[in-house]
Amino acid sequence: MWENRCKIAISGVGYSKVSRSSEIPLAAHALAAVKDAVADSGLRMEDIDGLSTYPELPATGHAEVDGISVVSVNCMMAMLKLPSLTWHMQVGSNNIGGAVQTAANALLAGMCKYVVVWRAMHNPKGTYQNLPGAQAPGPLQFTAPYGFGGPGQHMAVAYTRYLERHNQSRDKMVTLALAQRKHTQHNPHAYFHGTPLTREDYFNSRMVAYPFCLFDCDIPVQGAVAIVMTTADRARDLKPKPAYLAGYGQRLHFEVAGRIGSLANYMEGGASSAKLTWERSGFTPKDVDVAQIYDGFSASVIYGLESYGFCKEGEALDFIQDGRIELDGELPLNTFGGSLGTGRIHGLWHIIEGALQASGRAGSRQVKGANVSFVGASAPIVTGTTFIFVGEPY
Amino acid sequence: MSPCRPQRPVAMPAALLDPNTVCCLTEDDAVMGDWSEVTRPIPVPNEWTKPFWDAARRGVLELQRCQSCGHFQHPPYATCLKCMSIDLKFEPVGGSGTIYAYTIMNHSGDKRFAPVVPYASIIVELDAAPGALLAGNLLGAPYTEAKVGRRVEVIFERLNDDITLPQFRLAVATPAE
Repeated sequence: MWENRCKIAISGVGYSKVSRSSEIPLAAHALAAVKDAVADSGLRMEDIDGLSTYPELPATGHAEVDGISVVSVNCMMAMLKLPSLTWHMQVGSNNIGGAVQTAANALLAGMCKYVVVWRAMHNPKGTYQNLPGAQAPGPLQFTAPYGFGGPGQHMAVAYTRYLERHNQSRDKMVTLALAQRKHTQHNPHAYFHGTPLTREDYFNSRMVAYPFCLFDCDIPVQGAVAIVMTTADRARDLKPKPAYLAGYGQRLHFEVAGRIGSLANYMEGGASSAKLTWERSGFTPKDVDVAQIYDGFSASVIYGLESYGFCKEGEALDFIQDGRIELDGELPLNTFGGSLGTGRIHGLWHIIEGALQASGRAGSRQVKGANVSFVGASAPIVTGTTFIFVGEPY
Repeated sequence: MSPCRPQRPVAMPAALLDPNTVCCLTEDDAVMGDWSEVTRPIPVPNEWTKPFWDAARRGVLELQRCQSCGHFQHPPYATCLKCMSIDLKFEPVGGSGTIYAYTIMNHSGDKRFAPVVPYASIIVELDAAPGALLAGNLLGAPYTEAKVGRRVEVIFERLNDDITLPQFRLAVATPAE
């Protein structure tokens, strides 16, 4: 087991308004979320001495402009002008989960006392995923000429392989979409709060990239979420009940850019990250009370459930049936609605919900008696990170 | 659920270089898009990939092969991903394989591809190069023919004087395994 388990905690959490339009600059969303998280902790902004994020815009064919379409550490530093800042970091290879893990390491090393981690996501005008222009350079030269655009199509090809190799039906995915939309109705910050989804809506929706229909894809939004992380002893003196970090992992598998469609790579990526997390925390999938698994595209949850070890390969579409992933089920899943419910803010919201469930702060969607709270914070293949939070340190 | 079928007449790409066999058009033509209407993004060869495109222009499929362990790989990379050797050369490889995975694109966010929506973008694993995955479109067949495990063979689609795309169609003969 990890000697530092339960020595770091998530304290406050914060949200900006989530909207479809980008009339307010993204920096304003990020600032709102950060202020909200700091206030939730009962801290003053001057107490914050660490900053960490992953700023990338996952849309293709759009300019990255700091403050408009991304919010970098530099941008946040310029806005906050923190008097006691001692540490900051912006990660590349592990998405927002990497920013959280790096912040935990910095806190353990004594580099800072209170770190804010944020994720701000822009919704650009026009088509989200664009093919390149007249020319396809780099890895795109082997994909774009054939009409392969963004991650949705890349994941869709792996999904057809999954379905046909395992003799499974995409129709079963409706259960995930409906359960998550139901959970969304308990999350007032979510984009689809107040908008129910029916079985008919799912089956009548337009196909985007078969086997993905509209409701298998998270909706692009403009918004930000943030957390305050600190050491466990400091967290106990703050306003909210802490969620303790019991263990974490990162994917140890890398696929060459431009090589797409391999299902094994999702499985190897997820399994490698989860193995570290189980070993470090000392828990097993059977110990988990509640799980958040990244769902930018629905199939990502299926790959996650299997590669993390919650069920066997080829069985996840059956595993999610019969109420198992409902709030009172055996494994309540994506209890905040997931990205399919909140809109595309990436995995920090999954981490937030993992922390809220562990500390009993999830309100009307709280899973009763939840202690061991699992998070898979992005698609297992490229940027997968996994976490376990607990309410009771051990 | 199957994606809905389009209502459009169709043709094979005019620029297909197909020295040996001619694809038969059938009643299924009605679900094949007209690729001659599509302006594809043009690949930009680089140091690693130029031999691939040079060969394709001659109507030959060549993949990067490790001269130490014999492993074929695609896309090209700096090292052999099996044995870390840097002794890599491009060698001709047989164009028969199976559909490893596919998607049917119904979304026409990029208007250049709108004339063929819905279309099959496929990933092919060649018999002679296990693990090397090539992207392509399923040409000369309705998109509904795209299935995992379906036998396909390479054909070539000329884009301009410099660039010819390896593409795929359903295998003409059932191959002996």
